[in-house]
Amino acid sequence: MRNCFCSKIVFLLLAFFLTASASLASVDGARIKEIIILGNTRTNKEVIRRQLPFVEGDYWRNEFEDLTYSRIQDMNCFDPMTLRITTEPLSGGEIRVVVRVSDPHILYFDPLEFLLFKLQDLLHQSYSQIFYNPFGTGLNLSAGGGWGANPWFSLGFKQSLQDGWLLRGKLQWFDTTRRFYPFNDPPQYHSSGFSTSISFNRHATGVWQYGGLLNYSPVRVALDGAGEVEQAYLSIGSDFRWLKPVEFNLAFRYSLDLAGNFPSYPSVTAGLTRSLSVGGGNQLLSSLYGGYMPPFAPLNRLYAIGGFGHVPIRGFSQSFTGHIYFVTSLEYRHSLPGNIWLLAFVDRGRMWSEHDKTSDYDWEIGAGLGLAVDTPLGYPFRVDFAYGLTGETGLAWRMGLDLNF
Amino acid sequence: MPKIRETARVILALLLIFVPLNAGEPEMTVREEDGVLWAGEAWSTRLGDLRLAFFTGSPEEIGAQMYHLVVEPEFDEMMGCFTFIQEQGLSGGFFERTFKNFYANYKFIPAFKRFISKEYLRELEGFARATGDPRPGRLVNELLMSNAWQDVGLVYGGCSFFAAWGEATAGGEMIVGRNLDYAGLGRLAEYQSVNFYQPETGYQFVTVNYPSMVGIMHGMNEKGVVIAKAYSVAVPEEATVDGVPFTIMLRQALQYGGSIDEVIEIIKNTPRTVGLNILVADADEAVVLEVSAHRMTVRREEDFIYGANRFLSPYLQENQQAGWMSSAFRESRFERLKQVFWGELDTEQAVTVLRDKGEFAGGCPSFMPSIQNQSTISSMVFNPDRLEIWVSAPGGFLTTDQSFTGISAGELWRTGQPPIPIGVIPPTEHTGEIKDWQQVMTAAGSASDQQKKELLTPVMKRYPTAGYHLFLLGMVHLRSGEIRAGLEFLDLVIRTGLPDPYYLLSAHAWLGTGYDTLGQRERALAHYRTGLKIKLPEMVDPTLLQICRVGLEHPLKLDENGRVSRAADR
Repeated sequence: MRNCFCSKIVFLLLAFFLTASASLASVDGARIKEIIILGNTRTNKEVIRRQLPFVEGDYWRNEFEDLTYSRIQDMNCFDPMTLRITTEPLSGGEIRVVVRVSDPHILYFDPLEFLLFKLQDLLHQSYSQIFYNPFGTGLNLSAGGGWGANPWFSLGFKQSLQDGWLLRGKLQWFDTTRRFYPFNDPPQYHSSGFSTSISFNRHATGVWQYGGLLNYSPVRVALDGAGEVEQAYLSIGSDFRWLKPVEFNLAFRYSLDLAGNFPSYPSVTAGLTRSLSVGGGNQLLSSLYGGYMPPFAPLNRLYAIGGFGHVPIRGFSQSFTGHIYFVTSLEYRHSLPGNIWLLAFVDRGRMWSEHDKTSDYDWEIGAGLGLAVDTPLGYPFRVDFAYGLTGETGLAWRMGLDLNF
Repeated sequence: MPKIRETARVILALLLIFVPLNAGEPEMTVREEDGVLWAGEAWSTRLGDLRLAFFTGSPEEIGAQMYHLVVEPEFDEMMGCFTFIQEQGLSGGFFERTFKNFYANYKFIPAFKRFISKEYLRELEGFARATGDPRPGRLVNELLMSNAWQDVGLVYGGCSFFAAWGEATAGGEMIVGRNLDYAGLGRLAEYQSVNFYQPETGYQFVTVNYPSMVGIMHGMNEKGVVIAKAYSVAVPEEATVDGVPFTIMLRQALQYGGSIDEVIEIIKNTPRTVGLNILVADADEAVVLEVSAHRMTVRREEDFIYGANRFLSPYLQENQQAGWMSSAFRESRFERLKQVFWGELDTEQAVTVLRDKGEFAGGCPSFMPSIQNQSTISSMVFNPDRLEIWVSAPGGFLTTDQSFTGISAGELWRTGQPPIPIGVIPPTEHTGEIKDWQQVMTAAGSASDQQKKELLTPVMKRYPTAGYHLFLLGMVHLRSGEIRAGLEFLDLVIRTGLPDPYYLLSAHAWLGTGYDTLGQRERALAHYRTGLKIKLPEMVDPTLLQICRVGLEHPLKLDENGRVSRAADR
C-alpha cells in the first residue's frame, strides 16, 4: 500500500517537471523606441513606469512581457481584465511597447464581483474592503472586520515601489478561540491581541519572486484551558516563489518570543502546483504541500490544515493541527460546452503532532465533485461537494468564485 | 444674539430653497429669423433637405445649443428614434436587461467618465440641463451610453472611404469620399445634420452627425484635416469596453489634430476600444490608421487610398475576426474606379465613386450591393484644399442617389453665418437599371419575405438569367419552404456567376442543403464539394463552410422556417 502511494508521488513529481513549450515572439532583441502607457486615468504614469523592467533604448527580451504583467498585476491597482502589454513593430526594426492598464473604481474592479464577494463576506460575518489606489500613487489601503465568534479588525496597505518591489503592511486585532480534531476531546486555545507585519517582495523575473517579512504579535494566550499567558512572538522570514513550469512556494520563518514564556523555533513550508492540459480543454491540477516546525512550538503557532483551506483535505474541517504536514491533491477539470467544467478531486494528507490529544491522527483522504461555471469576471463560480473517505465527517460543501482556477 | 442667529438660519434656508442650483447659467433664448433658429451666435437652418447647425462657445453652451437648435424643434420624432436605439442596446428579457443596466450603471458609465475628457462630459451636461430634465445626471449617463453603444454592443456596420490626391485628381487637390453604412441607424439618419463647431479650445470642425452625439464618425477641421472611420472587426482579445468610446476619440482627434501626425499621436495615445480603419487626410496626403484596442499601424499609398471593413496591413490582419462584409468586392470596385477616373477625379466624380453600384456593362447588370449598398445612410465628400464639404440629403436609405449640396466650411468658420451653397450635384439619373438596382437593394434591406418577393419578381422578369436578385429570390424561397423554386434560382446564380465569390459559396451551401432535403444526395454532395473549393478573397464566418463540411459527412435538411439540421437527427 505504501509502495503504491510512493509511486503516485513519483508520478506527480514527474508530471510537475515536464517542461511546457515556450512561444517566442519575433520582436526579441529589437530596440525599444517608444513606451506608451495608456488607460491610467488616476495613476501617475511614473508609478507604472518605475515598475517596468525596460526603458526606451533597451533591447526587448521576451521575458519582459511576463515580468511586466506580473509586476503590474501584483500592484493590484488596475483591472486585470484590461491589462495588456503589446509590442508593435516600427520601421527600422525598432518596436513600440504599449502598456495598457485601466484604473478601476476605487471600491471594485467589477461591480458583479464586488456584489458576489461582499455577499460571501457577509455570509461569513465579516467585511473587508480594499481602496484601490485612491491617490494615484500606487498605494492601496484596506480595512476589514469580522463580528462572528472570533471577532477581528484589520487595517492594511500595499505600496508599489520600483523595479518590482512592493511593500505591504498590516495591523490586525483579533480574539480567537480554536478547536482541533478530535472534536470529542479537542486540543484548543484562546488568543487575543495584535498581529503587525511588514513585508517586502520583488518580482525579479517573470517567473521568480522573493521577499522578506517581519511580524510581531503580542497576545494573551490560553492553551488547552490553562490560564492566560503573555506571548509576544517576533518572526522574521523570507519567501520564494517560482511560477513556471510549476508553481513552487517556499517560506522560512524564525520566531522568537520576546515575552520569554515560549520557546523560539524555526519553520519552513513549501508548496508545488502543476497544471497539466490533458486535451479537449480538460485540465489536471496536481499539488503537493508540506511544512515543518519543531514539536515544541506552542499550539496557537502550530500549523492548521484541512477543509477547503489553503492546504486542503476537502471533506474535513480545517482542524488538523500539528508541526509537520504533507498533503497531495489532484483535481480533474472536465470541460463541457458553454464554459462549464465538471470537477472531480481527491486530497490525501496527514498531520503529525506530539500533542497528547492527537494520537489518532493518520493519513486522511477526502474526495468530491464540483461544478464550475465561467463568469464575465475571468474566473468561474464553483460549487463543490466533498466527503471525508477516512472519517465520519458528513458532506462538506463550498461555493464561491475561484480566483485560482 | 440668539435672535440674530435664528434669523440668519432662516435666510440661509430660504436661499437654499429658492436659489436654483444652476443659477449661474442663463436661460438660452431661441429666436427664429428668416428660417434660421438662433441661440446667441449659434444657429440651425436648412438648405433644402439638408439640416445645418453652428455651435459655438463653452462645452456646456455647445451641448445646450445642440438641444435647443437641433433636437427641440423636432422633439417627438427624435425621441422616437432615441427610444429605438435605446431598445437596441437594452434588448433581451427581464434578467438580461437588468444585468445590462447593472453593468451600464456600475461598470461602463463610471469607466467612460474616467476615460473621457471632461470637456465632452461638460457638453453632455449642457445638453442634459437644456432639456429641463429634473435628473440631468441620469440623462448624462444615458447620453453617454448612447454615444458608446457601438463600443458596448460591438455593433458593426459596413462603411467605405477613399482619398485621392496628387496625380489621381484634377489639379492635384485632395478629395475624400465617404459612405456610412449602417442600416440600424436608418431612422435616425433621416435627422442627420451638418454640424459646424467653434469650440473654446482646439480647431473649428464640421461633421455630419446625429442629435445628442458628442462623438463623430467623420469630419474635417479648419486645418483641412479630414477623418473618416470604417469598422474592421478585430478578434475579441483585441477589443475592450475599457477605453474611450471610439466616436469620442475621433472627435478629440479632429478637434485637436492640426496635422496627420498630430491625429496619429492622439489616436496612438488613446486607450481604444474596437477595431477600426481610420482615414486621416490633409491637403497633401492621406493615410489609413488600422487600429484595434491594443494595436495600431499606419497604411500609406501613393495618391489614392481606400478602405472598407477589413484590415489590409499584414500586422493587423493577424488580428482580424473572420466575418464577411463584402470588403474585398468593394475594394476591387475602388481599384477599378481608380483606373477609370485616374488623373481627372474631382468632386463630381467622387460622388460617382460613392454611388458605385457595380458593373452595369453588357446589358446584364449584377445588381450587387457595392460601394453604395442597401445599408448606406450617409454620403459625403471633403475637399481639404478648399475646406469644402458636400453632403447628400436627406440621410437614410439610398441617400447617395440624392443630390449633394456643397458648403464652404472655410467661409462659414470665417463669418459664423448660415451659408449659401457653393453648388449642388444633382441626384442620380433614374434610368431603368438604376431603378431596378434600387428595388433590389430595397428588397435586400427588407425584413419581410413577402415584400422581397414582390420587389424582386418584376426585376427577375426583366433580367431572368443572372444577378444578385436571383440569389435573394433563391434564399427567400428556401426560407419560406418553397425549396424547388429556391433551388432553381440558386442554380441560375451558380451557372451565370456573381462578382463576389461569397455568394457562390452561399449558393452552393444552400443548394446542397436543398437537394439533401429533396433526397438528392449525389447532387447535394457535388454542391458541398464545389462550395468548399471556392477561393474566397476575404475571411468569412465559418457557418457556410461548416454547412458544406458537415453536409459532406451527413445529409442535411431544411425545415419550413429555413433552419438547417442533420437529416438523421430528425
